Amino acid sequence: MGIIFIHRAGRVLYVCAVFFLLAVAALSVQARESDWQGANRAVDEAGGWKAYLRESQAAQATSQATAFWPDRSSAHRAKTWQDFSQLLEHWLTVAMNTQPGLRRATDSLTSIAASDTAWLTTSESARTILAQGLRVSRPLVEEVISWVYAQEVHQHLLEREDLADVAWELARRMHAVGNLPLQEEREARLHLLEIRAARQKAEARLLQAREAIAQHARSAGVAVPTRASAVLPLPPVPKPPADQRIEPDAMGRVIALIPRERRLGASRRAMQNPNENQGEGRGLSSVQPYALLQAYAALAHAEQQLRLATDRAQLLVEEGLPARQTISEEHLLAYNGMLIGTPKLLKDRDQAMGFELEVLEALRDYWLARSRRDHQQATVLFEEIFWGVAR
Amino acid sequence: MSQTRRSFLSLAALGSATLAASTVGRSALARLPEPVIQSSAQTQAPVEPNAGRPYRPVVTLNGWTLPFRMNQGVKEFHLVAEPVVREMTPGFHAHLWGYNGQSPGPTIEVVEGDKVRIFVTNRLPEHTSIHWHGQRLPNGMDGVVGLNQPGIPPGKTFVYEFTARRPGTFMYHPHADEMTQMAMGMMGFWVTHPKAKHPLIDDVDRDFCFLLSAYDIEPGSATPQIMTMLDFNLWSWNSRIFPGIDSLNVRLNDRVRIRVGNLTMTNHPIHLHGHEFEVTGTDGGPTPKGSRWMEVTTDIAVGQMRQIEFLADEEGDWAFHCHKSHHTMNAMGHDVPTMIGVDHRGLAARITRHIPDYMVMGERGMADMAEMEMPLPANTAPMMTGEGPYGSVEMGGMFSMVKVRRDQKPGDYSDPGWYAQPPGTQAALYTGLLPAVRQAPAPDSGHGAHTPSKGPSGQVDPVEVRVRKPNHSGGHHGH
Repeated sequence: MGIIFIHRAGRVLYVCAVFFLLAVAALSVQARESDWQGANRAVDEAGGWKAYLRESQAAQATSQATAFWPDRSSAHRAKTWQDFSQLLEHWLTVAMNTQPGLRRATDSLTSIAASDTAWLTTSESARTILAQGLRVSRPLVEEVISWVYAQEVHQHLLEREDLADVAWELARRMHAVGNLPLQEEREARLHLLEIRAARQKAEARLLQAREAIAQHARSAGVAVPTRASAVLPLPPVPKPPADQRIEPDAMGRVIALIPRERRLGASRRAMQNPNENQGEGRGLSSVQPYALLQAYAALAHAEQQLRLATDRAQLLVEEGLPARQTISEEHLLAYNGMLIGTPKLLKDRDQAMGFELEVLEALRDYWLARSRRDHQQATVLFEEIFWGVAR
Repeated sequence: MSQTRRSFLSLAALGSATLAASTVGRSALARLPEPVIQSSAQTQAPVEPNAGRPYRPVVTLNGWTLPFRMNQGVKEFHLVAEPVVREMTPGFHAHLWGYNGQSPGPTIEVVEGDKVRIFVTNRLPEHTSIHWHGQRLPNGMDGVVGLNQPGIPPGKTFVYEFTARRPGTFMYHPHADEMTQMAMGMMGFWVTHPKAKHPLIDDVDRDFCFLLSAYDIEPGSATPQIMTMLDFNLWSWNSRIFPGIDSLNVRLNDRVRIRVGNLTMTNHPIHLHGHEFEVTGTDGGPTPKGSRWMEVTTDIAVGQMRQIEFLADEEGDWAFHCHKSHHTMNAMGHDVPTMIGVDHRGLAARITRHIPDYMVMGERGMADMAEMEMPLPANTAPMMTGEGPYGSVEMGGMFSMVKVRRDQKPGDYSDPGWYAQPPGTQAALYTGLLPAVRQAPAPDSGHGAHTPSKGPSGQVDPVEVRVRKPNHSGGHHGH
């Protein structure tokens, strides 16, 4: 009896469940019809492409008026590479300030606007001076490079996150009116989350890099700028210990104090037999050329690294970026012709931003390699001066 | 007629040294007719025969008829298979293979019983042949490489010779590396006129012909994808796409014949507006009169030919097109998602921030595209375009018009311009009061009553779509 009752109750429950599901389905269909007609009404009321164009143009006008960095929009990213390089040049001069004797050159450098065509010429001469000071300021320079890079990556990922958010919002709206399966909407959402996580990671790195700079600033008793692209004048940076300061004039005086024949003699010995006396008493005069050769070898290695980094950066900037730009332009043209849809157009932009991230990394590597090369040049110079090699 | 003549002495020497099928006489190889090359993609005037038996010549839509010469009672033609650049529509050029300067090749017109000799010179980088589609002929002249003949090597000339045994509508195309060579546009039309009054072939005032051909040319490029099997993106008549296809211009009350051959890889329901027609001929020749019936659409399968006839007794500009709607579009993306109903408000500006020249389209349908006229990839025809007297026609591909005019002169095939609608005969905006839309009663599904939804105005919304599809609450129930 009990079994029969349970059996019947089960059937009743089953029938109720079926009717419930059918009722839900009927209501769902009804809601869908209403939503679908409403969606069509909404796009009609929105006014079409001309209305959207007005909306976009108004937004563009606003963003241009308030942009912190007018050339910064992702559409003009190619110009930002130049900004990035100029920014690093700018910050390398910060490192020069660690040398009181070099500050005069730095002052003249900073008084010239970045857009001035004479800037690069001045910069080259400044670099030569800088190379002499990098021996003591190398850690600072690398921290500055890391800071600028971290900031650019963070900014880049902020933009990419916004792009991913746009793509997901579009996917969400498409799914809402039945134009896209849930799976694709979820894929767009997942991509947004991935980019957001990457941006958060970049933010942590940015804070870390900024803290490293801040330590220098704090020791100098100055405020830390919020952005590496802060406008001139340059924020002061801490002075290195007195015994590490090298001034051009001081160096000239050192060179002048070294007897000419001694300098020439050291150079000759270095070229004839760099390893002489190594097995003997290893007096000061005998190890000096060996140290110099080590500096030469390190410089050669740094030069090689710089050449490779330059090749990579040039390849990506001079050939890669224009090629990527063309791909994006062709995608837009294809979109115009209804050959691809908006989701694919946004995906292309996302891929372009991924490539731009590679370019940023290559530029960072270039500047690191260049600062290391400069440091090695300074090291060689110092070795030659102190150990009497004629130049 | 903008035809040019090229010196052909060197190839003539080559051709004279080349042996063809054994049925071809030595005299045939003595001298080649000079090939005639066509440089224009416009419809050329019909060529009245200047020798042999008379006939009413056909007009090849956006094409031309190959001149012949009589040589001891034999009609001689010279086809040159060669790479060509075909203007498929103004602003869009395709890199094709064709004959005598164009793709498709010129129409060959003969009369039933004519002895025909066709020299075929191969200027392609690979061998070729010609199959005379539908003809009764000696087996060795059928053109199937490896089966009926060796291929015509590059730089060589073969000669085909047979008698046109039955009147009708025919085609020619290679039967060598066939998929490639047809995908590249190698084909042409052939008409055999009856030698005398034929009981199943009526006289007509105008006789048009064209081939259906399809291409897969990636937007931004010019050369067809030769490995495409079904996914073609350009549907053409005589390798032209709308708005590049000329209109068929006739005089009111003309009896009109249109011959169509299908060398695409799918069928085409060809539809004429405003008139009824009969299919008067097929691949096998004229149809028995008792088998004909009036219709407005005829389906033409792959490899088939159809000739339709009608009395053009309604003035106007009448659309004439394939009724597969994607065949009346030009190149378009096959995986573009539908955007209809997707509200972009608040989103358009955000997209534009990342892609500055982006414009929203498709959310109200695709007609906006024709209105926007945005820049496209190089050498790409708009998907839907063509200006009519009242705006964009929003068409492409296999679309043209039959223009029927009272004052079109006999023998005049020129475009008379747009038809001026007589007052009171054109659809116009209704300016009266609109009654409230009445809700159709919902069918009783037996699973619960349906309550009509109400719009913002409080009126009941019309419900036109009632499709149950799986959803997440129960879509996969029971699977």
